[in-house]
Amino acid sequence: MSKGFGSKIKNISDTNLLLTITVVVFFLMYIGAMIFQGEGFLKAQALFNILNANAALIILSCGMSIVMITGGIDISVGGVTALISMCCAVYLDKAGGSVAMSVVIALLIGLGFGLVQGFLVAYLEIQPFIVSLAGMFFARGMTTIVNTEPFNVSNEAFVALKNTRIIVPGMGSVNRLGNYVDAYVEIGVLVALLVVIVLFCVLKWTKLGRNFYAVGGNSQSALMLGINVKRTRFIAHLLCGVLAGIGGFVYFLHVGSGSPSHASGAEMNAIASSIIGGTMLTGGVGNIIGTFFGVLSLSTIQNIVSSAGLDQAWWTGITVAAMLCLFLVVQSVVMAVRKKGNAK
Amino acid sequence: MQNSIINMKKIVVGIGVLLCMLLWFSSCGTRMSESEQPVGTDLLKEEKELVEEGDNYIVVGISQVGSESDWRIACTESLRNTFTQENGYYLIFEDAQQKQENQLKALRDFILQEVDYIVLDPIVETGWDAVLQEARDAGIPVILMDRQVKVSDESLYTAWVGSDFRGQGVLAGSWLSDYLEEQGRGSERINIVTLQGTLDSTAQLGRTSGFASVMEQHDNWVMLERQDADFTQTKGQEVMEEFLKTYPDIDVVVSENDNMTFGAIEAIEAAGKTCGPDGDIIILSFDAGRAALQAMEEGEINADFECNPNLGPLVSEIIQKLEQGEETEKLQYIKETYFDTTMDLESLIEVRTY
Amino acid sequence: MEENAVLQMRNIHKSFPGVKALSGVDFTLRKGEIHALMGENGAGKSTLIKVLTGVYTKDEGHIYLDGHEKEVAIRSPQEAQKLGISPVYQEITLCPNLSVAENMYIGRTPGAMQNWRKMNKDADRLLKSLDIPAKATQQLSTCSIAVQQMIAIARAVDTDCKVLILDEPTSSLDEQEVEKLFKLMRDLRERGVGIIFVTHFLDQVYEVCDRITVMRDGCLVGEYEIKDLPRVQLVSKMLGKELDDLSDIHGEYKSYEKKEGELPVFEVEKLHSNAGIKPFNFHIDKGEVNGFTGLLGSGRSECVRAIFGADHVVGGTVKKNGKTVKITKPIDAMRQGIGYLPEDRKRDGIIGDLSVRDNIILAQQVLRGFLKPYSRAEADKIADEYIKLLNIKTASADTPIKSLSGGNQQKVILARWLLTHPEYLILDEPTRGIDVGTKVDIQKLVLKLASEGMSVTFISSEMDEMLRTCSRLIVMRDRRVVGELTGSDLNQTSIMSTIAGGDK
Repeated sequence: MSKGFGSKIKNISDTNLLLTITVVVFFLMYIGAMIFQGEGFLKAQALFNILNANAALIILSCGMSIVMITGGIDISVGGVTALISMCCAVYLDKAGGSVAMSVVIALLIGLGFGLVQGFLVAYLEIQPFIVSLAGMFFARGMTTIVNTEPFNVSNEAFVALKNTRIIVPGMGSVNRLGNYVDAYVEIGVLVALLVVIVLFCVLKWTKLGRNFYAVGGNSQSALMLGINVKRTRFIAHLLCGVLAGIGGFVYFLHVGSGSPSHASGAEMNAIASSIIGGTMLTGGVGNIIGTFFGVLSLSTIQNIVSSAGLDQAWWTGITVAAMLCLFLVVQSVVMAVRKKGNAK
Repeated sequence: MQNSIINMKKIVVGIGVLLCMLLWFSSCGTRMSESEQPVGTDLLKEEKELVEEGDNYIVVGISQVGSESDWRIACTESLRNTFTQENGYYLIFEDAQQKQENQLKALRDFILQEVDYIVLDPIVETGWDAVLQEARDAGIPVILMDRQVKVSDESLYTAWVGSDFRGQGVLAGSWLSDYLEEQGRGSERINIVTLQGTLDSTAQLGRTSGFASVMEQHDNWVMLERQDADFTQTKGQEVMEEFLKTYPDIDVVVSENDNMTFGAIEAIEAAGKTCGPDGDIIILSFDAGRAALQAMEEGEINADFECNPNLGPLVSEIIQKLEQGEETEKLQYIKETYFDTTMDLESLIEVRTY
Repeated sequence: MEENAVLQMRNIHKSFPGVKALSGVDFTLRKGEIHALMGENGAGKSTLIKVLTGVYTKDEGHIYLDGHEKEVAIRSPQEAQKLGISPVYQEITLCPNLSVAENMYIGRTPGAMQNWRKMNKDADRLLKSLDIPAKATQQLSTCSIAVQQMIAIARAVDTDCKVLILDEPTSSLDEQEVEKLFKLMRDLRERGVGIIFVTHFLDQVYEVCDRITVMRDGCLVGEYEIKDLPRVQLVSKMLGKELDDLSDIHGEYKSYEKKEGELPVFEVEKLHSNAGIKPFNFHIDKGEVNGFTGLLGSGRSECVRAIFGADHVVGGTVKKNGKTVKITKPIDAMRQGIGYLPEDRKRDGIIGDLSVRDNIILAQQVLRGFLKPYSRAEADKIADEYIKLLNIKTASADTPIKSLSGGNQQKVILARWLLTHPEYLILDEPTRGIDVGTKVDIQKLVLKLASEGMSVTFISSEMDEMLRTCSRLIVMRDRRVVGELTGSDLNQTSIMSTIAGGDK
């Protein structure tokens, strides 16, 4: 029995092994949260609240994971999200535009950043960190130029869309007044889930997806194996930009306002989620499902921290940092043990 | 890879099904106990045990703006000191770090946890309709503090406590009037400039209009100019420098918060003039923080009109009233006073909480 | 055009700034042939391969494939692959994070979607037909290096390659794995694949190859059939020495007189490190100069590094003056009075940014410990002394060592070790890259030190040097000691035939 399990562990790929660890840890934490926070957390709405608050982060993290799998990084996604929020807000309220057009604007902004950054990284071979750092400063700066002060969007169609609730049947709960309240999710959550499913398929079943892994695993070898490394990297960054566009609009839909301080630190959260989800900074290993659970884990930590009575603002950061370190250590140990076991 | 894919799929699907079942059963459980108080069907936990035993604790969820200023921190202190377990409260405190989305999430979490009362200091004025409605549907009263909201339905919140900014302005005006009388300058022409706070903010609107109302009663008071100095020291200094260049004969500076006042003092001294009780220019300030009172001790400020951050006791009063089933007033102003150089500043500074 | 030739390279020239790497080299490979490509350092083997695989473009010359009249132009690795030229390098160029099947098929299947089922099935089939112990679905990094190499070969073979280039494939394999590899190679030969086997392992060449091409200094020495080329002749062609060359010169210095019954200064038994050499025995007497000789890659440096503790020692004993001592790292060796001038001075020797003076006092400083630093005055004195002694050309003792010429850098490192007054000094290629005058200086210095009682081991690729300085030579081949030569055996013929081994 143990022999079978042992060989299953041996034959499982790095990616899948890390994914398993992530999922297991997430469930342990969620159960922990249920115990700590008790009553409220047992309701399905608690999970849906987490999804509602993090739909945008899920999308951004997926983009981040893809870039990280190819061995790069993109720290501009937070700035791009803020820029998109501000531009769409201004467009809707001050220029009196339509919601559909604002979606297009969001996508175009994301696409633009993806194109430029992808080109610089892939074809001019500039370090992705530097390129996206510049992108981040540019995006944040532009946000303030577009409009200095934060403001809420009052465009009716937009507000209606923002407040749309999609009822999840059968998962509701009874509140203290004795009324039955349906469980709901926002539209952004559906978008996020769709993105996750699509990207999962891309990474597993398309050549392009597998090329991401190859380039991240060993770009020299990938080149020798006939893969167009430059184009693959370019598409990875482009995709991240587009996802920043989608995520940016979902974020905008959730907060309903434009502000220069929106999404600050979002790129770091995206990176943390990816790492917790089993994406390695060195590239070549990672998966979308893990990232999805990484985002949920991050949020669950927040809940546990605040319900434990600690000052949420500070302690969340500390706990997340501790978790990240733990994951990084676990990842390295697991990898080292595997390599040693196979070094002949 | 295929074998491990199949195995992975099995594991993930299996766990996913398990979780769904768990959620469904738990929500089932809550649905079925319609008649019971949800608290009774709970898991074992220390905190909740306490609540169950005596059912004495009033659970209060507070969503605070952040910790960006001394004033804010003093306010938080006041809240934490009031809502203690000794006083019969169980406090859940959420710091929103200046983001409205965090406050919305906090409120929704409170609703989910079925707190008894929600206390909110809204970062911005709009965007609250939906969540306040949810709170009302859940039967949880909402008490606002410090900043105000713009909602379509005023009944969405039960009460508001905070500073009477207009009252502060009026107080300042009447103090000045009395002071000038004492000095024998009651009928002189008095040139006044105002350093305003961030335009359109509640504090600025109140203080400016309050002072203006007193001005109307004095023909000899002339408002040379009012300008927005954004409540910061830097802008305060800049704007004051401009005033000094443009107007050679300023008698009074009304500065709508302490930070701007510090900037103004620097500008005045750089221009070679003096301020305070023994100086050329009279300075009136708002907020009355420790640092300002110390400056007043050194003779740089004439009078300071406080903005009291200790909202805790007032909120607690309201909650107690509601518990007894009594009505409370919608808008409640906290008591605020002023400070000037005639008082024993040293002992006052010692007990100043912020 | 030769019939049956799958590859013909004619008159290939290639230059880089300052050096002519290939001068009119020819190479022919036939169908179903395992052809060895051999040559010492700087012979041009890897340049030739890189021209063939499209990494470099030739300056002049022609390449013909498969008997076609028209020559082909190979401008990139992709083009080379398309033409059926597949290299398999020593560092595995596969992706360790992908599965075995993926590595075999990635980058060459049509369409945009990945068909896992088909790919795994095909992979399993191929692996089985080549008898490779791996599963299509396992991650590549879980396979041993040997198996990974075979998978790389399997991929090459599957692409219908005509020319398979194996670049030093056996360097990291043990004997069993080498056998497996050879079996695979023979299989492929049966199928008609032409294999170029680049290696420096003599025995392996004789075991599995049909032909050999020898290169030296960028030129073609010749192409031979294995059965027509005795081993000694091969060695002589590689080293460029004629068998009848009796130009050995005896030293000018009188040697140190060994006392009766004196134990060897250092003796090792069955010393064994993880650098891949077979356990060996070695001893050196006081005042003796001996040397390690053999072809490049035969393990000479690895032996001395094991003695010095620079590689991880796994087994064996070391005795100094008859008493066992423990040497597991360089500092232990230094404390026992051993000094080691490394082969790669750039990497293991000089500290580029430090001054000449600092480089000189370094080793001795380490021995003294960091709590007893040299004062500036002391250090200056020492530096000046050695600069004079060894005639080091430098602007001053303060000059950073990296601005000195190679020869002078070498002298500084030598000074460093001389300062520690070792009882036993190991010099690994001390005269490489140095002008003739300095070379002679160093050789004379070695003999002088020996006459004063220092034991020296001298390793060099140049036979002349060794013959001029050493009184005993230890011969190595394919990572193991195969012989020891003294006295009248110290001539080139004996050396080369010992290196060659086998049937003369």
